[in-house]
Amino acid sequence: MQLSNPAPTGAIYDADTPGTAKVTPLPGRADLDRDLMVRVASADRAAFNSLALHYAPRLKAWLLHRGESDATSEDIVQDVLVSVWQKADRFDARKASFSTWVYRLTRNRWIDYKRKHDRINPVAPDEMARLVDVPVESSHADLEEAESAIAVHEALSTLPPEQKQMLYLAFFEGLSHSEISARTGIAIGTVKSRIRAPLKKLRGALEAHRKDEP
Amino acid sequence: MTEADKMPITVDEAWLAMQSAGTLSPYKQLLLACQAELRPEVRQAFAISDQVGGAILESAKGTDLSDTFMQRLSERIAPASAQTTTESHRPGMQSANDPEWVPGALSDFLRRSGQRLKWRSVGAGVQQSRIASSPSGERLYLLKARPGFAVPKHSHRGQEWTLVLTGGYKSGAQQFVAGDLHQEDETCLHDLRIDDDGPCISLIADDGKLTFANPLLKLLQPLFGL
Repeated sequence: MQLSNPAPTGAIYDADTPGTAKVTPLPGRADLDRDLMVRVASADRAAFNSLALHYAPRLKAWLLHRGESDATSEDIVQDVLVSVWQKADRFDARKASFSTWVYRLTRNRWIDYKRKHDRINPVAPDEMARLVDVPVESSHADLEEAESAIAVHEALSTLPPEQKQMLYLAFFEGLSHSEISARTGIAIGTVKSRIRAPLKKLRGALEAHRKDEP
Repeated sequence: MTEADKMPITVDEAWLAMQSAGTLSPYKQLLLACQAELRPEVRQAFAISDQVGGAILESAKGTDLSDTFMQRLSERIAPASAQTTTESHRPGMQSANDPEWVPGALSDFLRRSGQRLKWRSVGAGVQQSRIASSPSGERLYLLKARPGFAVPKHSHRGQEWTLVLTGGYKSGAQQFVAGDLHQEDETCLHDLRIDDDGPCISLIADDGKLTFANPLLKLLQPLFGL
């Protein structure tokens, strides 16, 4: 028996038509996650299971899209969720939404996994290369991130479908520009512009928001 | 917006999306991590990309879990919620042994691979420090060039990303300074000249050696190793 993937509410994606996925954040999900994480920080297993049942199938799919096996994908997701349980007291909803936090944890864990399995070769054969991620951020940057998280969630829902499709393929399925072009039959330049445009728009909206602040 | 808030020269958002998705090559990922350390505007762009990735994750189509997944997970968190991870070194922290122009992300990379910077002369006042290479032919290295050094017109095999760490140079009419990331590919033919006011040190990730337009330089290229 397979655990069923809990169906999200709000007609978020078209599961049967590849490439038509929408990227609208689930309404109320960020608030629900924040409340659940408050409980997880108090070692509430029911809250943790609720988060795991929502995110584990999606994180597993994210890893499968990157070519990992079913077993490896589940192992990495398990590591990520154990980390969520252990580090719950460090999660600060003012700094980032839970979905962003767990997305980063998963990407970093996956990169770490690739490094350990010798997919990166340094000059000397016995040396192990190390990838690092975004450097430590200041508290000022954290505050900025909290602002931008709200702006991003609002702006994503207003994007045209063709831009949403490109973002889904790039961020979730992890396809390169040329792979997206091959999958969709759209010229690579158009692929890049459809990814570039919404991200530029989001950055512009955020800068405008900051400018308006006293 | 003040001049200080201006976005530095960097790769466009389509590449930043790949950084967030984890699908950029390891060395290009490192270059961007270094630039994000040097320029907070790039760090902010990273944050926006990750927020997009997180928002997409909320509603993406998941896949079925094996029937033992939740049970195994429950067993792993069973003993206690106590912190079991240890962090002896935070990524992105510069080592005291490295020169001050070495970003923490690069310092961390060098430390974990047990390397020290070793410079070798490639002639004409240019030094190279090889750091890593991949089976696919991607290379990661530092290049130190003397003030006023000029590189004749050339192109590249595949992508070449150059992060300026100290000093600066001009490529055509465009000026690059510390913290800028210069992206070129096989479609670009350009020359460049190091600024006169000091040496320039850059971190470079490329897919292969330069291709010079001048036949004589093509002959001499094996001597440089660039």
